[in-house]
Amino acid sequence: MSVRAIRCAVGTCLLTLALSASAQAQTPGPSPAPDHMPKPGMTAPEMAGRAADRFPQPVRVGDLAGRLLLRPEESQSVLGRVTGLVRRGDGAGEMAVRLDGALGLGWLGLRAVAWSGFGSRLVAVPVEAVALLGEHVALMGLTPERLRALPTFTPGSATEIPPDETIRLGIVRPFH
Amino acid sequence: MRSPFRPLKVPDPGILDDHRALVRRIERRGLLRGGLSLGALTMLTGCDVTDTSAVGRALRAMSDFNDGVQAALFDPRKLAPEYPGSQVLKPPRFNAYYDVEDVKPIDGDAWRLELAGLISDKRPWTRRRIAELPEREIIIRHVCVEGWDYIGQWSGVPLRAFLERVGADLTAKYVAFKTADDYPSSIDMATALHPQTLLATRYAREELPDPYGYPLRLRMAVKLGYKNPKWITVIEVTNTYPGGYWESRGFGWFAGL
Repeated sequence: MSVRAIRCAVGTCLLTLALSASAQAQTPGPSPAPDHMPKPGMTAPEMAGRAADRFPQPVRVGDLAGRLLLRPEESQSVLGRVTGLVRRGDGAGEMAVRLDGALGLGWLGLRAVAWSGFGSRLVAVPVEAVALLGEHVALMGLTPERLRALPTFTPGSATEIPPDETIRLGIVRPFH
Repeated sequence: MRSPFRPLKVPDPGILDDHRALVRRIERRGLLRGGLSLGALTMLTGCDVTDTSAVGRALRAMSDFNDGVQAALFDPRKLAPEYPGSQVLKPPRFNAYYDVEDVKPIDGDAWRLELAGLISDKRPWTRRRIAELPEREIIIRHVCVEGWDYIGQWSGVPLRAFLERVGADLTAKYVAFKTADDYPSSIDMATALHPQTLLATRYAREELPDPYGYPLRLRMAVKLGYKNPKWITVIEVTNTYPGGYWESRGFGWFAGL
């Protein structure tokens, strides 16, 4: 192996280390959250109470698929993409959301593109934890950390709600 | 994971206090650059830009000048684009200067629309009387000054027909609105008489839901979203500039599209 090849290999390793250190440095620390931000540890009844105060409006289930799930902060960054709605055995409605994977285009800021990257996965979010934000959906009852900690949802493990059915979801104003 | 395009460290808000003098100088430079246009130079003649109130007055004068230009360019016969029903967003996007949890629904049976100013028949209107008037439906784009938009389907009484019915002075300058959520607003008479200006009572052919202005709101195809007050309680026709909620906070008054 030539000296040049060794230099290239060492350089690549150093560059990788520098990039991963930079990514670690971007991990956000705790900061005071505004009132509309989800509170850590909010219980299901609390979530339902807050959702009922948001003037739930009828929306066709088929119109929800493909909507972006946004973080309730000024930048309204993308957390995932709605793929459909399901009903658990106890009748609770949940929204299936595909979370962005590593190097997903949502993570890169290209929110209009559907590709969610490597390692993206589905989670089921209680409908009381979200609100309609125009043509998008905002995460209101869970912190992004709790969203990402949800177990992976397996399609077929709950009954899919038909696209023509209408459900009621709370609404919210933009976070600008 | 955060986007690599976002800054590594969020600036401390206190930095603005520490560098207030520098920020002022930057604002002045920006203002002077903006003043290179003939109109702005005219407005700034004799102004002391080191005086904040003088700068504010100059900017206000510029905004008023813009309002005048927009009013001169406005063609009351030109219609805004309309869209197919398949593009209508249901439900529409909610926006207000407060959170949706703070919306106070109106009792539609007790609600009355009061009339004031240059109107010959000032008897108050009930929902039932308004429902007896001829309606029109428009499917138009709602454009918000914040940068978002959607297609909405609105039905209601054309404001022109209503003003004619109550004997309003159609040569007056302004039509002003008071609302139940303390959001005063006003528009020019030309826009009030535009065919796509409605006193809306329905969205997507259903009664207006509470958070969208039940029982009566204004919908115009030719102005920005913040010019469309919800939960209207008073309509006044006047020649005295009435202003508005956001206009008194520095937004432009004409706000045409």
